[in-house]
Amino acid sequence: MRAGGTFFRLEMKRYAKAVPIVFLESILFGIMILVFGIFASKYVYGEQATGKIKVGIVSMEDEKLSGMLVDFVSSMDSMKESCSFEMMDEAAAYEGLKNGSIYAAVILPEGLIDGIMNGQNIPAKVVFGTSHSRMETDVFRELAKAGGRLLATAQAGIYAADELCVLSEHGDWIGETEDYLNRAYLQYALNRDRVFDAVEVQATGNYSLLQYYCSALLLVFLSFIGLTLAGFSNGTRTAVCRIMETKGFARGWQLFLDVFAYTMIFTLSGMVPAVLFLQGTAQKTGFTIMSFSGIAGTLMVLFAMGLLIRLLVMITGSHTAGLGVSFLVLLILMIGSGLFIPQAFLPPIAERVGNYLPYRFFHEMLLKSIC
Amino acid sequence: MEADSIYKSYGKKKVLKGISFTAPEGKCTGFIGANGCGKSTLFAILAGVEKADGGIVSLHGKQIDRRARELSAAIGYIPQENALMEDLAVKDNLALYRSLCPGKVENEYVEKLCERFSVQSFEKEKVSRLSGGMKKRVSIVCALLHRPEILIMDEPSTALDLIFKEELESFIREFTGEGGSVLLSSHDEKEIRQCDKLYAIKDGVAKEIQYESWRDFF
Repeated sequence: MRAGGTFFRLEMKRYAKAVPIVFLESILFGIMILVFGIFASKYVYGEQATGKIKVGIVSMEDEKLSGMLVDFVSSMDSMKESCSFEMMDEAAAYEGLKNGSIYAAVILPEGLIDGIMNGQNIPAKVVFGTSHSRMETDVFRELAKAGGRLLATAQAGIYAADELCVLSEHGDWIGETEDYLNRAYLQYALNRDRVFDAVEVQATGNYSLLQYYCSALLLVFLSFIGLTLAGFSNGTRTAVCRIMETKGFARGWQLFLDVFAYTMIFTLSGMVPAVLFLQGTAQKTGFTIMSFSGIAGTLMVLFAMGLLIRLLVMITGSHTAGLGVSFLVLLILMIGSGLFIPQAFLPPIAERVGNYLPYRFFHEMLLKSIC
Repeated sequence: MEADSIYKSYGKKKVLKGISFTAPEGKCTGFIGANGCGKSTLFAILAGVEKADGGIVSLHGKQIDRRARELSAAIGYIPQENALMEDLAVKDNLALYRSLCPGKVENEYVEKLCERFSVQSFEKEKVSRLSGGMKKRVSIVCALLHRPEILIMDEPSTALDLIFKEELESFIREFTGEGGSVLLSSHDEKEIRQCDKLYAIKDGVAKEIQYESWRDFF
């Protein structure tokens, strides 16, 4: 018992002494990953990776009328969330496509508005730039198609009503019917708030995107701290451990105390960056770490995470190759649990499996305790 | 201490093929042999750290299990690689070994040992920052903390400077003079000459030889 106490105290001391080095390594690694991530996203998505899809509108007819049309389209929920429109002349639009300042140019032909009114439907020309990633182009193409379908449905309804008026020999009702239907479509079909309940469904569940990713980022960073700290574990096959075994200090007991000491130090030291980060981002994310549930929940998550990492390293070994394997396993667990991409975007099987992965519980528990 | 027909294999490699010897009380018994002949394996088995595939180890004529408390209480083991926690200070290692001792270890005794092997001057140093000789001295002190009656030393003078080699020799004389037994393996001629009994290990077996004839054996 005396030996157990001393061993536990010394293991705690050993891990505690390693904490500053671990933090330094983790911060450096974090910066490296962040810089890599920024450069990678800039390379893949260009400068406007997080901005809206910019679309240039070129109008060949009355700007007032086409401006109204653009206002109508851009006020659609799907459009206003993802696109921004700018009126410009044709030359500026092609120049914008060339230098990458806009993703697409919509060239509205002469008589477009009249065409919509009388059913002629003169098509607008949409030109896509080549300097942006395929993803934005596809997104805009889908949005444009959705808008077109919406307009076509409305038109079909109006023309069907016109035809009904003619067939039933009530041609004089056409004007009034069209006015009514235009108003009704705009009121009911286009304004989805009237038709559906205002329930926002997000891939990140009940949490905002910022809350989701900030907490995920914290878990990833803490995992790296945990893994680096676990690299300082000795294992129980060292000469000193084997001698301890001959003195009646069983290997299992040594392992237990080592794991417990590691988990305690990881939990306590991990609280420092966790509190700093969560408190630092509280204004934007609405996290409340400085509460009983916040502190207790974070401590529990850290304890469970520490235990998982240490047990994993116990299996793989604390040598470089072992730590590499542990890192890979943790990475898979994190991806599967939706820390990098929300689970809703993962393949169905991965989504189902992800629900049972430990990081899913850690993330959920952390969010529940601080939100 | 006696050993009878000790066998040990690592996979297909048979390291010890029935080693038998007797290490009398109050004497220094030496083991010599080429590198890799099995001296360290034999010592690890005698100290209870390794498990033999077969054979008997007896203490005071009584067969003893490798996990027996009496064995660990009777033996002080100094392995070739230092059995120390590298990330911790010397005093922490001493505290750990002290806590492993069955009875109370008086501070005066620890201080005396540290003084004898000049360990107190670097007690607060981290083990990983010490030289090989310094580590060996700490290992010796740790092995002696529980006042063992048998000292198993695997190449103890390796890395020690001349002064401490002499100090160790004088300590061994003193230890055996007080009735303790020492089992040591060495490649140092002076150290071997000091042994009262000498065994040479070759092809997995041990044969008692005279110091003068060690060259003939090889």
